[in-house]
Amino acid sequence: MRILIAGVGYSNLSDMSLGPLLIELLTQRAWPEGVEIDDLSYGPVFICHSLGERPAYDRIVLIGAVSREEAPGTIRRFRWAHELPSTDEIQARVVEAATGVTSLENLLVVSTYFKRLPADVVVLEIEPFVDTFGATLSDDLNALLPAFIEELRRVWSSPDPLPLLETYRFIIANPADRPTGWIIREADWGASN
Amino acid sequence: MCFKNLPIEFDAAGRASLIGGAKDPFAYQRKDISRDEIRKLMEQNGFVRSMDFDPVTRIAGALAFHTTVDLKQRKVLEAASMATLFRGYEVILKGRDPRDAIFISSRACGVCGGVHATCASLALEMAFGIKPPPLGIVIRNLALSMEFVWDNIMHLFMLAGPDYSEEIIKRTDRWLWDRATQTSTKFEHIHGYKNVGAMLTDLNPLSGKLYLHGLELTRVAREGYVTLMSKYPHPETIVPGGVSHNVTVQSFNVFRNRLMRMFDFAKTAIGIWEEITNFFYEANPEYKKVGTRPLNFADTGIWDDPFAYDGTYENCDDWGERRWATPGVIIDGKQVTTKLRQINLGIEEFIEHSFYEPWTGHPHKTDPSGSPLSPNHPWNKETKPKAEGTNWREKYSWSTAPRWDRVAVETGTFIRMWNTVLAGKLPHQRFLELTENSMRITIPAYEKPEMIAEWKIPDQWNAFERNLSRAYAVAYNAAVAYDNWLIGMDLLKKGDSRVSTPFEVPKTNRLGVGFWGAGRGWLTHHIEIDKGAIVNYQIITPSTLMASPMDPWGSPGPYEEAVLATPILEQFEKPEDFKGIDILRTIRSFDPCMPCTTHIYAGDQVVTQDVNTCACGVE
Repeated sequence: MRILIAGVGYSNLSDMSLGPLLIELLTQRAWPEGVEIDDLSYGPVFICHSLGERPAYDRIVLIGAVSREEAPGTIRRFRWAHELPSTDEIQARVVEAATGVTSLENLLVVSTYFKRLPADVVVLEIEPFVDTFGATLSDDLNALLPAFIEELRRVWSSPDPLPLLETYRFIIANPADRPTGWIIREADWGASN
Repeated sequence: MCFKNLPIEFDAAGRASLIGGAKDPFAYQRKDISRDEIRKLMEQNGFVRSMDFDPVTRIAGALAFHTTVDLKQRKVLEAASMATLFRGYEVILKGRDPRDAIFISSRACGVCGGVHATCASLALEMAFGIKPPPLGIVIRNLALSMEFVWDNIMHLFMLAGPDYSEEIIKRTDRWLWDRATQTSTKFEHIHGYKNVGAMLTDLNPLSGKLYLHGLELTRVAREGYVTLMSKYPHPETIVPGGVSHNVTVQSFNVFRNRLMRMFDFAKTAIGIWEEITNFFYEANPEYKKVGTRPLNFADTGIWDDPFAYDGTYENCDDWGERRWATPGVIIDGKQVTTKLRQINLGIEEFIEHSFYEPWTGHPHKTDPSGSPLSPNHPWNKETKPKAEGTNWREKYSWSTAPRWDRVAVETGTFIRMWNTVLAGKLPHQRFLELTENSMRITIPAYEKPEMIAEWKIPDQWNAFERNLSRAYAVAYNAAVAYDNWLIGMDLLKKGDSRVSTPFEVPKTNRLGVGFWGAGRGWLTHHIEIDKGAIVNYQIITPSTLMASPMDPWGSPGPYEEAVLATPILEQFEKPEDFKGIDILRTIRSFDPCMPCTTHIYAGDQVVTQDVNTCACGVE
C-alpha cells in the first residue's frame, strides 16, 4: 500500500505553518516501506504536475492548520468527498494555484479536477491558537502535537478507509486540561462546504 | 533633458543639480477631487451605473476595480483601481541582517518566485561593494529568463486567454462567436488551425488543448529553473555575489532540453495571438481602443552582461546599457533616457490616495553620485500604514502611486522590447536583431523549423497589443536564455566555474538599489544599511506602478487610464445583462499581480496578518 503524508501551509505564520513544520519533524522519523512524507506547501498546479509523475498512491493524508472560527486546538478529520464546484470556480482555483496561493482547498479542488488523487484522501487539520508572524508553533499547539501525531498515526495506518461519518467531539472544558482535552471532529467535506 | 516636471537639470557632462531659485523645489499642491458631476449623472440617468469588479478574478492576489459607466453612451466615466491586500515586507525587513532581504522579500510574490530574491541580491551587491563572477551572472540570467517564459505562457493561456475563448465570447458577444466559426485563419502555417472558432475553443479554460498545453509547459519551464536554482518559488541558492551552488555541463544540458521545448511553443503562441488580434480588429476596429492609454512607459532593464556588470551605482549607467533589455523611460512615445541613474532620480512614491500617512524626513538629499533626490524617493520614503478616509475621492488603495517625473508609467515584459528597440544599443545580437522600429528574434529549430519572428512597435497600444507582445516576449526571453546558455557553456569549457564571490556584511552606512525586472516589468529594491542591519527597505513592483491610484494631481494610474479610455463594445439588451468584458480584458491585459503590490504593515513591530479591504460599500 502506498501512502503519502503531506503538509500544506505557508511558512513563518506560527500555528498556521503546522503543515510544513510538522513535515520537517516527521521526516526525521523512520517510516515503513510504502509511506512517504512530503511538503506540498506550494502551488497546487505544480503539485498536480508532481503527483502525475509518481506511481499512484492508495491513500493521501494532508495535514495543516485551518482557521474555521472554532475553538483553538480543535482537531478535525475529514474525508475528501471528491465533489467539484462549477467550472468557473475550478478555473478560479487553478488561477490562484498557478499564481502561487498555497491552500488545502485549492489543492483538493485542482488535483481532483486533474485526476491526481486516489479515492482515499483524508485531511487532518487543526484550529490555530496563533496566526501571526512567527517561525515556530505556539506553546499551546506544541502541547497538542503528540495528540495530533497520534491521530495522524491512526489515520494513515488504518487498514481500511475510516468510516466517512464517524464523529468524535471532545470539548475543551478547561485550557488547563490540555493536552488531553482536544476536539476531534470528522465530517463529510464536500466542495459545497 | 529627461525631466519636464522634476526640478532637476543636467549640465553638459550629465551632472544633475537642482534648478535654482525655488525654496522647496520638490513641493507640490494636492488637487482635490470632486464626484459631484458623477453623482448628478447617476441620479438623472438610469444608464449611468456604478460597476464594481471585486475581486477582479483570474489575476494573482486581490484587486478590486470600481467604475462608473454610461451604458447608453458606452463610455467609462470613472475608474478606480483598488489594491485590497495589505502585507508587510518593508517593515518586516527593518532592523534585520541585510542577507535576510533575499529570502524574505522573495515571499512578496509566489508567481515571481525568483525575481525579488535576485533584485535583493543586486541591492546588497551595491551596498556591499561586490560583484558575482561571470558564471554567477549567467545563471541568474538563465533562471530569470526561464521564469519569465513560464510566467508569460501562464498569462497568455491560463489568465488572459480565457477572455478570448469560445466559452467567454459566447456569453458576451454571440455575434463574434458566429463570425469566428466562419472565419479562416491567416497563420495556419504557424499554429496549425484552419478555423478561428476551433482555435478559440482550444482556449477554453480547463478543457481547451491550448490551455492544457500551456499548463503543462509551465511545469517544463519550472523544471528548467530548478535544475539551476534547486527550488521554485523562493529559491534559496541566491546570495549576494552570485549563487550558492555549483553547476555542471550536465545541469546545463538538462536546462537546454527544457528550453528548446519553449522555443516551439513560442512559435505557436505568436501565431495564436496574431490570429486573435487580427480577428478582433477586423470584426470591429473599435477594439483597437480597448485598453489604450498614453505611450508613457518605464523599465529598469534586466539580464546583465556577465563581463560588464560590476554592481556599482557609479557605473550603473554603463552596465545597465549592456543588458539584454535596455533600461529606459518613454514619454509620449519618445525615449527620454536609458541611464539607470536618471531612471532612479525620476522615481517618487505618493500616498495621497493610499492608506498611508505621509512621512516628514528627507535623510538623503542626494544619491551616492551627488544628484538631487526627492523626499518622495524610495531611499527617503517611510512606510506608515493607516486605513482611513475610504472613498473614491480620498483614499482607496493599499498601493502607493509611484510616478516617474510625476507621470504615470506603464511597464511590462513588452516595454523591455520597446525600450531596447528605441535605444538601439543591444550589444548581444546572436539571436536578436534590431531595426529602427522592430526586434527580429531568431527562434531556433526544435521539432518545428527555425523561425524569425519580428516584433514591431505597434501603431496603436491597447489590450490586444499587450497580449500579442507578450507572446513575442516568450521568444525574446527564451532567446536571451539560449544566448546566456552558450556563454555559460563557454565559461565551463574554459574551466571558469566560479559562481559566487566571498563577502562580509559592512558595518558602515551604505545605500544600494537593485535594478531588475519581474515578469511584468520594472522592479526595484532600495536598501539602506547601517551597523550591519537594514535601516530602510523599499520595493517598487510593476503592479505597484500600474495598479496605482490617482496621484496628488488627480491623474489616474495606468489601469485607471486604460479603463477610462475603453469603449463599451459588449452587446447587451438590458443594463442588467452587462458583464463588463471590455473592462476586464483591459485590466487583465496588464497581467495584474497584486501580492507584490502592497507590502506594508506592522502593529508594534509585529506583522499581524493579511488584511483584505473590500471595495464594497465605498462611495
